[in-house]
Amino acid sequence: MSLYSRMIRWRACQSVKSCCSLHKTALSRAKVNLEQVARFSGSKLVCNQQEVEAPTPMRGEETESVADTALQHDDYFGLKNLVTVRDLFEARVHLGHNSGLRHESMSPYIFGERQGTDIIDLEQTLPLLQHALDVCAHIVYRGGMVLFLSRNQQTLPWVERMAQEVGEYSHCRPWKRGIFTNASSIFSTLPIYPELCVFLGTQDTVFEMHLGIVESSKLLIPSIGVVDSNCDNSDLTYHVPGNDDTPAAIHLYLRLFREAVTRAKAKRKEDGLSLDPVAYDES
Amino acid sequence: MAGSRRESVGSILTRLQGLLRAGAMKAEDRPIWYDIVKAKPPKPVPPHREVQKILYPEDFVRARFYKTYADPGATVLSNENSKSIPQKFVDRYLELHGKGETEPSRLFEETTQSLAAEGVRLITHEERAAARGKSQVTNKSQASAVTPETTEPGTSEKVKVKSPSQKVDIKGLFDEKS
Repeated sequence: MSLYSRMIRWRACQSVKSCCSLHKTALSRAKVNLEQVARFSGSKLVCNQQEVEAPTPMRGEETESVADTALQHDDYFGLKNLVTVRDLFEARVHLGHNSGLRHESMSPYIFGERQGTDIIDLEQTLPLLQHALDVCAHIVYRGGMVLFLSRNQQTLPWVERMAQEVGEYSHCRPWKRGIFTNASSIFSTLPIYPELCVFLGTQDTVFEMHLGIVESSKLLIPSIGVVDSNCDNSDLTYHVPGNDDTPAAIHLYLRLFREAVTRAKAKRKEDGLSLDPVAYDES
Repeated sequence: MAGSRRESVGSILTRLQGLLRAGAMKAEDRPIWYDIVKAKPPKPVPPHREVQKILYPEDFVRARFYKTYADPGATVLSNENSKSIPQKFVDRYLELHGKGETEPSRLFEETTQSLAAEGVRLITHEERAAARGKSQVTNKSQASAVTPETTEPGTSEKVKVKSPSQKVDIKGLFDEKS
């Protein structure tokens, strides 16, 4: 069955039940949302709420949801045409560090050494970047929360502003050891963990790796990271070899992630996966 | 989240699959990312290889240029259309080399002459050293007009050799600012 016809079928049923087939968390969120809305608005929503009250989570091969179909698509959010090797080159993504600072794990991604400076292979960076953007968009599409992290003082305000504007979260301040792994005692309550961590630079200081990488790996949270030629990529789930120091390069990454998140949210609304009260008002 | 905190063992996907297989986590409790990472797993890391040095044919021309001729001065970086003198030299050299009319051993001199015909005057290191010696003599005679920094060899030779009048301009510039 084609994606389009699946969507038609999806639209036709438009029941909250199938919206909630995605995930238990999504289901509970839907309940909360609907309860809140029902408290403030008409009886139509209460009717919907009753539908939710007896949920039959749809799972298995024969009841694939729209999100699963979207996942089978090669480039569901059209992110492959967003960036070219030329764009990466002009944003100075290819510039690495001095060859003496090279990290062993980065050597497969280095094109060569030009007068003592490592040059990152953009032919390899591009597919990895597109892959990472696609994964990020799919997680947002399913209602996942994304946390953007960076420890670069110069780019801190841009990262925080971007995260705020797309409705996601950022952490660019010094990382207290145990923010993820010992959260209950640091925050004295159980926190909500993000579904994805995006590191726009994988270093905390010039000598140390960002602690968030190991902590997110420990807590089974996938991570995307821009790794420069002097960084360790082994603990990241998805790594993108590229320059993490130049403002032009950071601007490019931020533009791409902003686009990925925005498109995913738009698609989410379009496909009826959105659990916002507004979406129910329309139906 | 339940599960091993040994991040060095396997990947997050294999560890979560272990939890699901062992029944420590129910299939409906699985995190949002699980299906996505399973369907779109990280690409395999290519094998390690020796990092090569990047060299171009023009590097050897440029190296010989700087070995023979003194630094021809500053380049305007803001204007991308203007070419620096070493770049002009390299381009002309490769152009003559491409024509194949000149002997390889004569190519360097031919390029110099070709540029000289267009009014680009290149100064060799020897000529510059000789000019510097002369200017130092003149500097000593007008010691009052020269700051101590400019008399140090190598610091501002460009200014000294090219136009002694420019030196006075710079002096005036500092006066204005202070």
